[in-house]
Amino acid sequence: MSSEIIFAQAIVDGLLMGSLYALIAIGLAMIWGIVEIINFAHGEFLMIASFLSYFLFIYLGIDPLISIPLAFLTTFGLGYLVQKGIINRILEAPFLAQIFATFALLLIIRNGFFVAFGPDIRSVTTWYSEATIDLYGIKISIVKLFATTIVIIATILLHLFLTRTYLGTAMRALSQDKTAAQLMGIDIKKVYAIAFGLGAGLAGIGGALLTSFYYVFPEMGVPFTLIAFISVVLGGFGNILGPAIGAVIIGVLQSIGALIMTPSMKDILVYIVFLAILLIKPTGIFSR
Amino acid sequence: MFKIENIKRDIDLMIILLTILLLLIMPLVYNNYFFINALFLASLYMISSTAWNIMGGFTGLISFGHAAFFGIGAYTLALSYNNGLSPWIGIWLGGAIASLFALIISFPLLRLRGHWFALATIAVGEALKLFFNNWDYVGAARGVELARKEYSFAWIYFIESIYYNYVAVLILVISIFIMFLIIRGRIGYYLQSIRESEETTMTIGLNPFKYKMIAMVLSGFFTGVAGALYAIRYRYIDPFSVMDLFISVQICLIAIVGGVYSFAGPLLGALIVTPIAEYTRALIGGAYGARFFGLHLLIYGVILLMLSLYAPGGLMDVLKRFLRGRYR
Amino acid sequence: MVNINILRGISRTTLLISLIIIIVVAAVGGYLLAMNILYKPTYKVSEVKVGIIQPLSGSMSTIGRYNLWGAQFAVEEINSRGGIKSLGGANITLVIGDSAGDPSTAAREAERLISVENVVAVIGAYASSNTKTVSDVCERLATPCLNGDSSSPILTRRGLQWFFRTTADDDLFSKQHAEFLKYLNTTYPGSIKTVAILYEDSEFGSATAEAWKKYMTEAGFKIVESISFRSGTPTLDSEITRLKAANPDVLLVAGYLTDAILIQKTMKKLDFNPKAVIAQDAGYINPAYIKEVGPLGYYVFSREVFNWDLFEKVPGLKDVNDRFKAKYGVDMDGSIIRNYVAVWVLYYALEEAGKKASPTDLKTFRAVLRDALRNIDIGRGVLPVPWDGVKFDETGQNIRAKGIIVQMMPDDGKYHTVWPPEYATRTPLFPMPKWSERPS
Repeated sequence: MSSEIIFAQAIVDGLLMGSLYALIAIGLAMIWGIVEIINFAHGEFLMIASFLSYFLFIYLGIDPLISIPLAFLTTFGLGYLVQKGIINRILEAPFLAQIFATFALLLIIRNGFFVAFGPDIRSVTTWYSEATIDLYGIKISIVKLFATTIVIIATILLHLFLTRTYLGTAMRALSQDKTAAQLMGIDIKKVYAIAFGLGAGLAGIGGALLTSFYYVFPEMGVPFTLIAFISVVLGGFGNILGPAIGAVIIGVLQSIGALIMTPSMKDILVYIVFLAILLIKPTGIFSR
Repeated sequence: MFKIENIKRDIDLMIILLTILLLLIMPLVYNNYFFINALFLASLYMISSTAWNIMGGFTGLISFGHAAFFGIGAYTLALSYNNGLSPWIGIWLGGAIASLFALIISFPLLRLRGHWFALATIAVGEALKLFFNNWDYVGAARGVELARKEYSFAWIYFIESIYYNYVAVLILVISIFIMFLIIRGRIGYYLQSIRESEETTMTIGLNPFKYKMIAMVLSGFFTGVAGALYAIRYRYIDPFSVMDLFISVQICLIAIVGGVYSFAGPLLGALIVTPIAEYTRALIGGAYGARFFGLHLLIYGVILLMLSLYAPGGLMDVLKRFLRGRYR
Repeated sequence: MVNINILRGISRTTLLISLIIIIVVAAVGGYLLAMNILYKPTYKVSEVKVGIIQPLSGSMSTIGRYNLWGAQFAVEEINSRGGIKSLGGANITLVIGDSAGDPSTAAREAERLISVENVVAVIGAYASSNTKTVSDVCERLATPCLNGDSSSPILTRRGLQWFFRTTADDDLFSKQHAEFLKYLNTTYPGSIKTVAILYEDSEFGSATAEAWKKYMTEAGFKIVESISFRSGTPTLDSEITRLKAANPDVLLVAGYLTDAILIQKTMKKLDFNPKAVIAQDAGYINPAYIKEVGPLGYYVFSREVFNWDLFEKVPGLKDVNDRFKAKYGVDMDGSIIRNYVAVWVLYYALEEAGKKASPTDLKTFRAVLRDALRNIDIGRGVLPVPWDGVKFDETGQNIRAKGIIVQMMPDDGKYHTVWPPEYATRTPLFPMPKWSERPS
């Protein structure tokens, strides 16, 4: 197998996985940028959606990809409630209190699922799970290709929402200048709740997509949360394109890293690049 | 400073003395080995969370990468022990190497503030763990096992676990008092000033970078000491048991739950939280009919949530409100 | 006053000889009595506590739970057959500890079981890194530690006096892998020249990889690639791509449950077709893997310590498995059966120990139990495993343990024994068909 094809395969794999990371990163960036809170429990919303699609498939035969809208609504609703019930109460609290509130949430959700459903690793096999397209020797998984498409659509829809609707503009205003936005009559708490809901909802879509080719278990959110954080820093968070591109870059870095160095070292490459960015341009590559 | 009346008024000092007293007496009174082991674990966290707080609560530098210092301390002890060095030296050597690491990374890292600094510490911690996981000299993923020596105080190897507790108390007393004296002195004062406002600190002629670096080195040193104690007690370490993000988070959480705005907050946090966590794990964790996996962590999460909503100053805050007016 | 008339007629020689005989018998009898041989005091207790540590939470909890079932099943069997007879029919009570997969937690659990729960012995702890700390604690606290399911060779190379391992270690298993490859080469001459190794990077995988490198090279095979990964990783695309590029004849793989599933899925996805895949147990023989992987696992070989199709060859096995399956809903696998067997081995030792001491004197009983384990001698066919029996050498290793090689067959998706020939129920299918040639 020629090395160009191997290299190209790695890039394709990286891009596909990276697009999934992008979706989750965008959700995190929204919450971080608008509500100004670091959501440690982000990956847990992904996990909830994953479990939901899994059970819908097992008990009702609904294909995971079709369950996406339902997953989105569920995690949106949960995110909204979390913001209203918990985060809104600690908006004025010191940085630390906010951290441990979302971390507490992480513990509660993750272990709640652990206790309720056990640690078993579940997965779903559909008629298209193993299907691949062969492009000049590079194998592209159809599922992941579909997932990437959904991600692109979701991102476009989000962009339209943020630029063309009142609510979206209100959110952008909040992320830029809280006081001014309040003076313009925006109900902060409500907008925060919707923003959080949206961020969680995006993670939820990611979760539902994952069910179709990955496995489902209570701790699945961990690597995704971490990567989402790194993507946001990498890409900056004044916008949604930055983190998205950052996420894709990370996906590709991981993929190529595994080729050039001991695969278990590939994550070090990601961290080193991350640290480099932090030191050179902490606001992110693409921030305004 | 050491007059009795002054001591009584100083709640931090009271808690330190009370904690040390409890650590000395409780193992003798309640001779249950599970409890004794929980106390040992608590002492480890007392040292490392107090050290963490020098950076976190006092200087405003929140770190999620302290496991790096912990792990370096543990590995230093383990490797030097296996090469014949007395653990009584090895423990402090562990702290020294950890503080050296802190010194080195302070140069790039201290240019960052707030959220960015915190995220960078996660990256450093995880990267170091992965690096150790692939470094053959330290055993890579297989870790290091402490060589078998004679049972003795000299090699800190005992048949009865209770002696480990007293070794820990000894190290704890030394560590806590050094940190206490430094924080109550000029340096502590400067650090808090930096936390409030770096710009203002500069206007009075101090170099914030220098003092932040001192905070990191100090914090790293004692966290490394705690890591070394872990190694000498459990006699087997690998990157995932001493350098994982989970350890950083535990250290940080205990400090937060205890209260980051006072010196003795983390002590209180460790003393109260660790035994509770251990007991919930053993009683209703995975072993209880092997059914309720993770229940103890769930409860931990709920408690944490309640605290974050109602008492962000941690247990220390609750205590102070309770003792309202009697102490400074 | 004695009537010396009775003694008239008996010669002095006779009297002297009789006296000597009486004195000798009295002396010997007194001696035997003192040594408790003639008159055996029987100890009677209602229960004997045995500790078991497994990862019951965390990423290895599925396997941990199955292992626990294996042990619990054995305990129930023993108790229902009258318990420990030398202790008056005492029941075994299993006290459970959860290591959560972490070495220091495992150590704390071991201390809790030994010092607080007062168990007479500890069984455990699956993951070799956990077994390290548990055995260390047991050594320190003079309690027998019986391991049935950790295969890292280093565990018996630390000079411990209280540690016993019933299963063979990865060194032996890897050696058998090399023998198996040579066997394949005799049947399909010259097909296998190169091998590649894919291994998870903790103690289990690393020790296996080392042993493979040693034995494969000795056997004359060339190692063209060797890649490690962290167990539980979400993707192995790049790793498999590299392996594909190295183009080995045979892929040797060591991984846990999620890794096994991921490896098979990725191999198909990237169309990686070595002539054979040979696994080192663990994830590959877990019932959950077999259920999940389906056709993706066909043709894969694995070393095993036991297989369901051995019931024709190994006495008693079918019966045990049927009863286990009736209760727990899954077939026994290598880890389950090894925990089952570990409990039984401990039982035999307990019977011996119960003749000499009582668990009420914990310290003595543990020492006596340790000696009983040291002297244990179980022959072939007593335990439902394809071993030659159980006998521990001075390092605590059972020198009669053996492994087998199984292959997942495409007609029923189950593992069948293919080697060694005396236990084989099928011939090995080699080389394995390419992914594109298989029915989808």
